Amino acid sequence: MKFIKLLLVLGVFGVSKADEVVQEIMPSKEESAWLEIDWKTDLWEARKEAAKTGKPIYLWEMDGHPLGCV
Amino acid sequence: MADRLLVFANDEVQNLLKERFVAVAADDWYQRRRKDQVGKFFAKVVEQSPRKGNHTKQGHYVFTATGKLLGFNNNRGAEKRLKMMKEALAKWEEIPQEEKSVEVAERGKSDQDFARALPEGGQIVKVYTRCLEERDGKWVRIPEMKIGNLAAVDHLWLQEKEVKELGKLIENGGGEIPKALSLRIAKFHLVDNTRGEPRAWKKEEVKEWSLSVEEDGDMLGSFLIESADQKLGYRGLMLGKLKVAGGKLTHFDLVVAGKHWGEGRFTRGARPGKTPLGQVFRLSDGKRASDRIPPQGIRWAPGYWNPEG
Repeated sequence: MKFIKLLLVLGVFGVSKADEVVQEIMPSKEESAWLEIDWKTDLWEARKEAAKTGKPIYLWEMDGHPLGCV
Repeated sequence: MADRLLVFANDEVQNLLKERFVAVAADDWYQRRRKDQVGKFFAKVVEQSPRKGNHTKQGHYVFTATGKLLGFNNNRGAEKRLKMMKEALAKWEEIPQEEKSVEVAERGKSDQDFARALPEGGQIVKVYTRCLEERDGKWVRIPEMKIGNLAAVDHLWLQEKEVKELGKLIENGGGEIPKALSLRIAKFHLVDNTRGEPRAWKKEEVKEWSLSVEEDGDMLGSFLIESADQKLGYRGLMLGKLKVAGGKLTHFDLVVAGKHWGEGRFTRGARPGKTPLGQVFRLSDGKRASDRIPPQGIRWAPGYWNPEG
C-alpha cells in the first residue's frame, strides 16, 4: 500500500525525485536577498536599540506579516 | 511581497538599512489593534503620518526612538523609497543628539489579545509555497519574477505535547497524524498565499484527508479541500519524513504537490483553471527573528490550536 501511495505521489510530482520538486519550490538566492537585512520583529526592542545606537527606526508595516506569507 | 524583490533586494536600500537604520517589520493586523505601550507608541507615530484616521496603517515609516515621524511612504519601487529614506535621514541629522539617544522604558504588560508567541517547548516548521507550471513533463517554477510566481513563506507551529504524540505514534508503529495537527495543516497551511492573504479553509471544506506516518518516520498523505460552491479548491498528495528524538522534532520535511484553483478576496489574480501548486514544510531552528513570526492563521489563536472546534 505504501509503495502504491509513493508511486502516486511521485506521479503527481512528475519527476523521479521529490528533491527536484523541493528545489523548484524553495526561494532562490535572489528571492531571499531581502533577508540579508537584520529585520527585527518587535517594535519596542527596535525602539530600545535605536535609542542605544543613535539611529532612526525604519518600520515596514503590512497586513499580514511582511516577513511572512505576503 | 513585491517590496522584497523591488525594494529590499536593492543594494543601496540594503546598505542604508544595515548601516543607518534599525529595521523592523510588523503585522499591521496586530499592531494597529494593540492597546499596550507598543500599540500606543505606534499610534503616536501614525498620528503624524498620512495614515492618520485610516483603517489600515500599512506603509513604510521612519521615526525616532521618541516617536517623531521623519518619513512615510507606501509606494513600490526602490527609487521612491530611497528618496523617502534619504529625506528622513536629512531630518534626522538636524535633530539634537539628546533626542536621539534617549532612555526607553520597559514595555510593561503586552496586550495578549494581539500578541502571539510560540508556546514553551513548541517548535516551528517553515512552510514555503509556490505556483508551478508543467514543462517537459515536470513541475517547475514559472521563470518570470513577479507577484504570484515567487515563493511565499509561512510558519506552522507545533506544541510540545503534539511533538511528543508524534514520537509515540512512530514508536508504536505509525498511523494517522493526530487530528488537531492534521486539521491545522489542512485548514491553515494548505493554502495558496502567493498573491496575498488567503482565507483559512473551513473544517467541512476538508472533504478528503489522510496523512500518516510509518514506523520509519515516512509520511504519506492525500487530500481534497474545496469550497461548497467548488470555486476554490486544492487537491494533492504529500510525501515526507519526520523524526522525533528526546521529545523534540529533529527532522520534519514534507513536500506537497497538487492542483489549486480559485482565488479569495485578498488573493486576486489566480491563474485560470486547476494549476500546479507546490509546498515544502521544513523544520526551523527558529534562530532568526524572521523564523519566529506567528503563523498567518493564528490571528484567532483558539481556532489555530484547536481546529476541530
